[in-house]
Amino acid sequence: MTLKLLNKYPVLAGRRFLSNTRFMAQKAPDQNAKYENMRHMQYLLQYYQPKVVESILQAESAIEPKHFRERKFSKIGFAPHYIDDFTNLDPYYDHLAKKPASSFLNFEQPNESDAPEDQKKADDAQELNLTESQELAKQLSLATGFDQEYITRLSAKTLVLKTVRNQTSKGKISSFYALVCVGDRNGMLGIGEGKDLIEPGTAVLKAHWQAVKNLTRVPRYEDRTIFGNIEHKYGASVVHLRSTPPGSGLRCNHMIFELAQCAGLKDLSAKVYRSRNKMNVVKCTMEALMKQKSIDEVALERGKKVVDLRKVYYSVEKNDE
Amino acid sequence: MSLVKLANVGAHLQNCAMAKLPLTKIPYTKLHLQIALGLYKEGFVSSVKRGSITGPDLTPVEVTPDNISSRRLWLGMKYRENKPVLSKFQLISKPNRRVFCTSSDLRNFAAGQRFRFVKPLQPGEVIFVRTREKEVIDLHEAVKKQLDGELLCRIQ
Repeated sequence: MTLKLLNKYPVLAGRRFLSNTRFMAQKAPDQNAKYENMRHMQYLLQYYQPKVVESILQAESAIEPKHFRERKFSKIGFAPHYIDDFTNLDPYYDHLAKKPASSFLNFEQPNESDAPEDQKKADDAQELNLTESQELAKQLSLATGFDQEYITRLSAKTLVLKTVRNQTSKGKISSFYALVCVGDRNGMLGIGEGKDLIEPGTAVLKAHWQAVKNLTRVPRYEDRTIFGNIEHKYGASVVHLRSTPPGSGLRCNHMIFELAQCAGLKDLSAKVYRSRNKMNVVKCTMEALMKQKSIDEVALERGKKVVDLRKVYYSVEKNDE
Repeated sequence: MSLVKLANVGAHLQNCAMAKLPLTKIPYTKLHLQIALGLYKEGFVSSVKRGSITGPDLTPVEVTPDNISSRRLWLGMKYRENKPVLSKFQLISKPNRRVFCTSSDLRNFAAGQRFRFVKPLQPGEVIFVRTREKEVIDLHEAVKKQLDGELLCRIQ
């Protein structure tokens, strides 16, 4: 087998091989060339399959003997003793990119532990490091089907937080009520309500949960405004929403502003008539936004073809030859 | 002909849309026929058939002074994804206040500007115009032909 390799790669004769072994002889290549090659090949055959040895020798033949002879290691003391381009991060040696949602109060192991696999699981400190938001995200992703990271990156806004009272035989029992809107600022929006007897924070958490569960897509024209004008009534609240040209911004009621921000609407004009009750305005606006019909939907309904005139008349398109 | 009857037709079609009815009948008049054919052309309505009070005619029946009182126009309503295609049908020119438009005003209105108290055109909205020759055509058609007209109704 070894003779075959030598015959295949006659260049091997008279070449030093790249190896970390103590076989690295500093003798003159011409005298002991063949002997050295055989020794090297036998050494490799101890550890690798013949086909692998063939490929190793092929790789080694790509290095010029002159370059190998004149190779020098870095004189800098702290330079790594191995050759690496550092493009790939190793979980043991390198500090990997941190997750954005981690708080500075969390004490995490920055790198992968060096302990054996069975001993790693006994370490519970790693599991307790999940923050409240991360726990919420994990459970929500199971319930909704959204990606865990997507849920942590959603922007949430507490729109209403107040105490509500229930009159019972024991007296007035007050609890906290929260209305939260959640959105990915790219077309998804959801609102949720939550109540808690003791803590307002828990009410907000419950509302956040519901909001993520109620996430729906909001149709947007050019990803910035609504389609046309919408007038909607919910209870005693009447909301008029108008689409505006690019650059107008959100000129609307502060509740509608927050909803539009979370949904990813950039240009909108709105007016709330009759009741301006925050909760009802929010609910009215949610329904109004879902009431939209995109131009494509309208075209499908009526069996019409939609043509973007701007694209047809004013764009320069390359002709495919 | 009569805008009062057209207003009733508009209200009736909106109610049918809300009730999700498949077929409805409206009085058989020249104006109604023109509007119905316009709706069919725009794709708001799936079919326009002449018929009697009981239902649309399977074979064509000649309209005579004897059966004119029982003649009706049957329209097939359209629905998609649990929503009606024809959801709003409102008059612009009303019996108590008529709205007439010159060709240049019609052009501006079609471009999206407000015309006096008439709210601007919405995306996907259709406006029927009755010209001086008593022909009912779409707003964009009237603009192309540079005709004046009465803004009859707006449909969404």
